[in-house]
Amino acid sequence: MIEDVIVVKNIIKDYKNKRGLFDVSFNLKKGEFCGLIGENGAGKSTLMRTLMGFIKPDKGNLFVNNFEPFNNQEKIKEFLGYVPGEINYPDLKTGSDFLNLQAEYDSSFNKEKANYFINKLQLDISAYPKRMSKGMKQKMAIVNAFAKDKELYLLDEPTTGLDPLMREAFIEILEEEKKLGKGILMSSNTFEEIERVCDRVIYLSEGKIVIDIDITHLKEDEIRVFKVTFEDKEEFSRENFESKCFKTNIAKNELFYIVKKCDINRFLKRFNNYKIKRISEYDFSLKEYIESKLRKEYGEEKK
Amino acid sequence: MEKKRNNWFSFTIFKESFKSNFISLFIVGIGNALIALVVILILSTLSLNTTKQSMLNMFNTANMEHTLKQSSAGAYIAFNGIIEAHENVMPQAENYLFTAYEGTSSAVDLLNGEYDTQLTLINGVYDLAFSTASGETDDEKHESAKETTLGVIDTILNLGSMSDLEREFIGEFVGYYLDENYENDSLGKEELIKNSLTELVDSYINQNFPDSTITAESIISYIELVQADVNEDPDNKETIIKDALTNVFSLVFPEYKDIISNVIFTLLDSYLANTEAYTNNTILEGEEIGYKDATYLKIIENLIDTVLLDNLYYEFLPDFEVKYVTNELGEPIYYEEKVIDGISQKVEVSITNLEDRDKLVPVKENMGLYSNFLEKMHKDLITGEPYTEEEITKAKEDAKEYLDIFSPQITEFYKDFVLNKSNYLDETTGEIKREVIVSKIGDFVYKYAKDIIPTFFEVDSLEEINKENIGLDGKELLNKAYDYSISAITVFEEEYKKEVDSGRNQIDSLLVALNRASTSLIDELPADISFKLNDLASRNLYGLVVGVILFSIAGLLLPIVYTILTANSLVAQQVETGSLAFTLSSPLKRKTIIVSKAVYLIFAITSMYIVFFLFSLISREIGIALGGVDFIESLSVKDLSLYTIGSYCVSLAISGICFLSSSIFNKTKYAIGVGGGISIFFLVSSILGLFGSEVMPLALRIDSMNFFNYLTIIRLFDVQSILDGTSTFYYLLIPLLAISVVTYLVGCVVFTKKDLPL
Repeated sequence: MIEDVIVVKNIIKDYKNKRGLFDVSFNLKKGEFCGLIGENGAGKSTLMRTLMGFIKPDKGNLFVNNFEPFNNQEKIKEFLGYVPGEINYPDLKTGSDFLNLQAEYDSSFNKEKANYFINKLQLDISAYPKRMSKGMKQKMAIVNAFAKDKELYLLDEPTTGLDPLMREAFIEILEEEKKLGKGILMSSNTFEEIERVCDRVIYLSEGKIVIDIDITHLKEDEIRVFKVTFEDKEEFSRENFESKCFKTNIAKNELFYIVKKCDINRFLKRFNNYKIKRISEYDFSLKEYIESKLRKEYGEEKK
Repeated sequence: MEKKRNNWFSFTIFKESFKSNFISLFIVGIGNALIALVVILILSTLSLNTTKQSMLNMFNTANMEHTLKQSSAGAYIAFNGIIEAHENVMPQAENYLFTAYEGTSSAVDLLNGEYDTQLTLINGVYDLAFSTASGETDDEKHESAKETTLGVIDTILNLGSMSDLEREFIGEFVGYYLDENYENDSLGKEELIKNSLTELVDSYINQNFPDSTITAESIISYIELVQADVNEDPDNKETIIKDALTNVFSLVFPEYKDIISNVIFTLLDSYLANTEAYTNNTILEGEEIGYKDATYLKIIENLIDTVLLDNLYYEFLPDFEVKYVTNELGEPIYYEEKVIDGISQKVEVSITNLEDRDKLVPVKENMGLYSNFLEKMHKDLITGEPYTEEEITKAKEDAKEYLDIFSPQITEFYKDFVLNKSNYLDETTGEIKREVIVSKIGDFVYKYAKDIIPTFFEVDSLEEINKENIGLDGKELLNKAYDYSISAITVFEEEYKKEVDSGRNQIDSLLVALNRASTSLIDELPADISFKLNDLASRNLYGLVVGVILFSIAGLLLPIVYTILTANSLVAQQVETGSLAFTLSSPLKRKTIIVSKAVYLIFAITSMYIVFFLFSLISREIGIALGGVDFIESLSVKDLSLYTIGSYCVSLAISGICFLSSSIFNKTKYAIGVGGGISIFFLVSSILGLFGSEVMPLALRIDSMNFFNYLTIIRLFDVQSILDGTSTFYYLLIPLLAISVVTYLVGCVVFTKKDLPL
């Protein structure tokens, strides 16, 4: 139990119209970097809010650092940092006013660290928070969250509005935190960030966890994906049933394979007996991986 | 080591709330304070109290006119009455009275045989005269002897100490005695005396009261009763006779029963004490007027003190609205169909007992008049409720005070009259000179007015009534006294004559004429209007404008708007936009967060009212410095403090409602819609309700609008109670504070329990 900083057991929060969370369970280990993916309205934010203790689930148990969040809000916040999904600031004159107030609220706020992040993200803290651009607001929320020394950060779509450069800087920040042994639960629409920093991905759909997988192996260079294009339908159909293939394109007579680095030679030798038009290395993404998983789970109906 | 955290209050949240709402607090606070400043300063330049004062002056002048007119007519009645009494009534009355007294006294003596010696002597003289008388018949001899005897009798009677009247009586008695003695030889002496007395009384009655039904026999038997009493207690003969006379005169003049005894005793005491001085009206040493005149004066003064007071006090009883038709005498009436000379007519019938009250004829709505003194005499019939003991006692005290000023003037007048009769009476006809009386009354009223006018304007002397202080000229008012007196006398004379001619009895005519002569402008107004005017005149207009307009409407508007917006921005708006997420993601309990916000809201309102109060105080001082002296009385610091407290409690309760609404709803539109809606509804209802509330002068009041006062908590701030100095104001603060406490508490609890979409 000590290792699991978050324990979620069968929580239900029903907002009707298939919105909310339905029987969601998962655990998060200390220092784990977990991505939360799902379409809009899948329940990502609701899950975050529940973990923050803003919302009380209808049913089920959850613990953050062994505390029930709703009734122990002040305790779990010693442990949790948060970047809200929808960012709006109180009516204060400048960004530094805001950060100073936050520092007053939370004794773990490290001003040096804050300054470091401000520089890194090129944040203008003299601006009026309410008039900041989407990206600026986002950056300040990130600075605010990471300036506080917490064990786990809940990041609700933290990169929305950030330009690619800043996105890069943000990922660097995450990587630095990772080295410090901090954990992260980050929701996002884009697979790329998740793919780059997370060890694990939870895919939410209509309030349910559809996929919960470890993706460490995807990131390691151990794996290559090859696209094999066959000469004709006949040849194609011979191979189609091979288990190693994870994706097919019947129209083009194409098959996709995941191959371990050490197995490449063996893999290539397999096609000696086939009439092959082309074998090329394919740029694999988490997105495709998830999609393939979904296909496996639900078949073609789920597109 | 973990720092011990305050679980209830976070200063940082308070600071954040302060920083993000400071501008609006500052603007609203100063704005509201400026409103107070401007309103109070404007008030100081307006002379609201002048309007009020002139209203008040109108009423006071009308009251003064009424009193002076009534005094004039009253004095006219009194002066004429005094002269009439002195010249005719009293001499005649004392003539009867003394005759009756001496007659009774002598008759008792005769019956008791006190005159036996004299009668024996008279018998002797008569016998001698008879025997020597010349004449054909015995009858002639008797007449001659009687004449001779009566001739010498004066000498005989002069031997004793007798008053003129007594001597006269005995002389007349002897005449009858001798007749009786001559006609009836056989009669015993007592029979003789009694018969002679009967004859004497009979002739007296025939002479003086030919229409009277009283018989001589009844008087004699009455005298015999007196004689019996005297024989039982010979030392108190005088008193017994006086009492007996009082009884007899009371039977003869039942309407004067109460005063007869007093008059009889005063006259007889005075007469018996010094008969000579009385008869000659001698001016005794150290006295200004004759002995007899002084006796009359004593009676007059006594009559004023008793009779007048008994009737005058009605004038001083509290007014009431006469909502039923009354007649000239102030009696309620109804109309009855009667056939007179074959024509059906409506006849006025006065209601004289309480059982007939259901016959009362109501007057048209709002057309009732204030009671005049005649209607006050019939209050129980008109309203169904008599005056209370306290009211009557108070009225009698007031009437006594009035009489103490009035009666010395009468005394003075009487003395002047007896000393300078020729000035008052026409030498040839003996009639009263009207113009002299009128001018005397003018003088009298003028003198009286000097004393009485200041009391109507609640000042000590006439000099204080000037244009600067009261807005009226005291001298002009004094000069009006002459006009009032002349007009009152003229009206009185006309009306009195008219009433008497129409067949009304003397006393009723007098009352009706007196009432008509003393009406002022205000008396003619319907009670509804004069009540409204009076209400306006008696109002504290500064209290109305400052207490109601400033503190419960104008001064509430900005705080309410501020409260609606601030309460919303503190909670609901932060939830809706999500900015509360940052506060909530810090290690603070929700309880701490919401309580701190509540504290801020209360603080904001409190500070706003402190500024408001300070500005009110300052502007009051400036107002006074600028010459608004009326402030000192009409807008006391205490009242100002109470207005502030009342208004503050209202704001607090409204802020609680807005806070609760803001805590319940996650969306600004609902939070403002509900909290603000309720608050504005209260404000609008209180504005509408104001027109029906008792703070509004009656002339402007619309009673049906009072309904709105039941819809708003703002009316729990009871301005009227502050103006009246009652404690209702304090009691009504309790519900306001209760609303505040409950709404804030519930708001906090709701916030800690609910889901936040952040």
